[in-house]
Amino acid sequence: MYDIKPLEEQWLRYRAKKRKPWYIFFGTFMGILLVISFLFRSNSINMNIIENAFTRIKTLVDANTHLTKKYNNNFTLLNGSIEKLDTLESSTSELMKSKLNSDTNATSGDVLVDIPILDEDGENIVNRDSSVHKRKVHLDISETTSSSAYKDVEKRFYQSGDIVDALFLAKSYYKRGDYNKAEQWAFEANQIDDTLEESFLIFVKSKLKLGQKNEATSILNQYLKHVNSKDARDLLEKIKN
Amino acid sequence: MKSRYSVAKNVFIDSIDIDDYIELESSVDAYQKLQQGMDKPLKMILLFGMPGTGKSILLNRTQETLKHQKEIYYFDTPAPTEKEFFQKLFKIITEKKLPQNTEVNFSALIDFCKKLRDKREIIILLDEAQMYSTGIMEKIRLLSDTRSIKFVISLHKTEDEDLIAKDHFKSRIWEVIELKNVTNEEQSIYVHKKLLKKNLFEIANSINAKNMKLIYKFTHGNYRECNKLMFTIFEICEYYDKNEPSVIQYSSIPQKIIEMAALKLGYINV
Repeated sequence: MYDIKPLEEQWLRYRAKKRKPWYIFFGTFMGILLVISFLFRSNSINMNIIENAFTRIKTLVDANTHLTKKYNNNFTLLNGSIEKLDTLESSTSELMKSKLNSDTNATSGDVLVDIPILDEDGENIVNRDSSVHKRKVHLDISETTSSSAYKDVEKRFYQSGDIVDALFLAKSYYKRGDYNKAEQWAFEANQIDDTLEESFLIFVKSKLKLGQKNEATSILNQYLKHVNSKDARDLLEKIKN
Repeated sequence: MKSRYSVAKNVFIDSIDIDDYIELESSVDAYQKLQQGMDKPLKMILLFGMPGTGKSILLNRTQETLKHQKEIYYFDTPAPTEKEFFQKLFKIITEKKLPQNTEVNFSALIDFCKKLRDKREIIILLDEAQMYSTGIMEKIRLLSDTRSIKFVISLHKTEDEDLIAKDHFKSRIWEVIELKNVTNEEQSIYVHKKLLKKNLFEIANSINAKNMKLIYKFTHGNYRECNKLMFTIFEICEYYDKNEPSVIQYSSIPQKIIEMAALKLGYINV
C-alpha cells in the first residue's frame, strides 16, 4: 500500500500548478477589465466636468459682458406701454444706432444692443427711479433676425437655466410680434425670478396682445396688491382707458 | 472486510493469460490478418508495434486457438543462449530430445527441415524477437528458407528493430501486421469488459466517460499503461475505502484519484 499522504501532498501541488495558468489568465483578464472600466469612468467624469465648466464659463462670460456694457454705456431699459412701444419702434432703432455710435468702448465689430421694447419714448431714457421696487435685467445679446440664433439662445437656456436668456427671448419674441412665445418666455423668466417686473410686464402685455384683456387686468391687479410699481400701475391705467 | 477495489485492481495485473484476452475490433482484425497470413505459403510474418499494444497476448491466443489444428509453438521469451534456443527448436522439429552435452548441428538441422517440406508445416511464434542475436536471426532466416518452418516474428517498433526487419527479413517477409494503441472508445470498452468479465458491474459503471477520457489522456490507448494505471487507481481507491471512505464516490472515480495514480506512475509531474 502506498504512503498516501505524500501522494496527496504531491497531488495538491500538481493541482496548484495545473490551475496556475488559469489564475494568471483570470487575474490578467480582471486587471484589464478594471483598467478599462477605470479609464472609461475617468473619461466620462472628465467629460462631464469639462461640459459643466464650459457651461458655467459661458454663462459667466455672458453675464460679465452684460454688466460691463451696462455700466459702460449707462444705458437702461425703460418700461413702457404697449401702444407706445409699437409706435416708437422705428424711433427706438434710430436711438439705438445713435447710442451705439457714441459708444467709445465698443471694441468689436459685433453690434451689442439693448432691446428697448419697453421704452416709452426716446426722451424717456433716464435712470431708473430708485424708489420703485422692481428689478430689471439688462441684456447684451447680439440682435439678430436669424431664427437659428434664437434657437441657440433657447438651447443655451435649457442647458444653463439663465434668466438673462429667458428674458432676452421674451423681449425678442414680443418685438417680433410672436406673442405666444413672448408670453411663454416671460413666464419662464418669472419662474426663475418672480420679482423680475420686466418679464412680468411682458407677460401681461403679451396676454393683452393675444386678446386676453380681462386676464391681463386681473393679473395686474393682483400684482399691484403686493408690489407698489409705477410701471404696472401705468399699464393698468392704460388698459382701463 | 475485503474492499471491492481489491478484486478490481487484480483484474488489471498485466499478463498474457488467454483468459485475460479482451476481444476488441482492432484485436480481432489483427488476429484475422495473422491467421490468414499463416494459411498463405509465407516464410515469415512480421508482427510489430509499440510495447503494450497486445502483441504477446495475440501470439498466445493464436497458439491457444490453433494448437489443435496446426503444429504451432510459442516462444514467449528468448532463450538465454543460442545453444538453448536451438536445442528447443531441435526438439520441436525432430520431436526428439537432444542428448545432454551435445550441440545442434545446424547444417544437419537444415537438411532435416528440407526433408520435412510438404510433409509438415511447423509454425514458430517468436515473441520479443528483438532480443535474439544477429546470429540466431540469420539462422532463423535460413530455416525459414527450407519452407517447412514458418516464423511469426514479433518485434517492438523502434528504429533499431525496423533495421532488423529490413536487413534480415526484407526479402522473406510477406506479411506485416502492425498493432497500434487503441482509441479512447476501444480503451473504454477494454476497461469495462475486463471488469465485467469478473462480475464487477458496479465498479465498471462507476468509471464514466470523463474518467475514461482522463485515463486515455495519460495512457494514450496503450494496454500495458492502461493496466498499470487502472491497477494503481484501484489500489488508491482501496486505501480510501478502508481508511477514509468519505473520499470515495461509489458512483464515479474521483478525478483526484486518477491524477494521484498518474503522479505515482510518473505520467504527470509536479
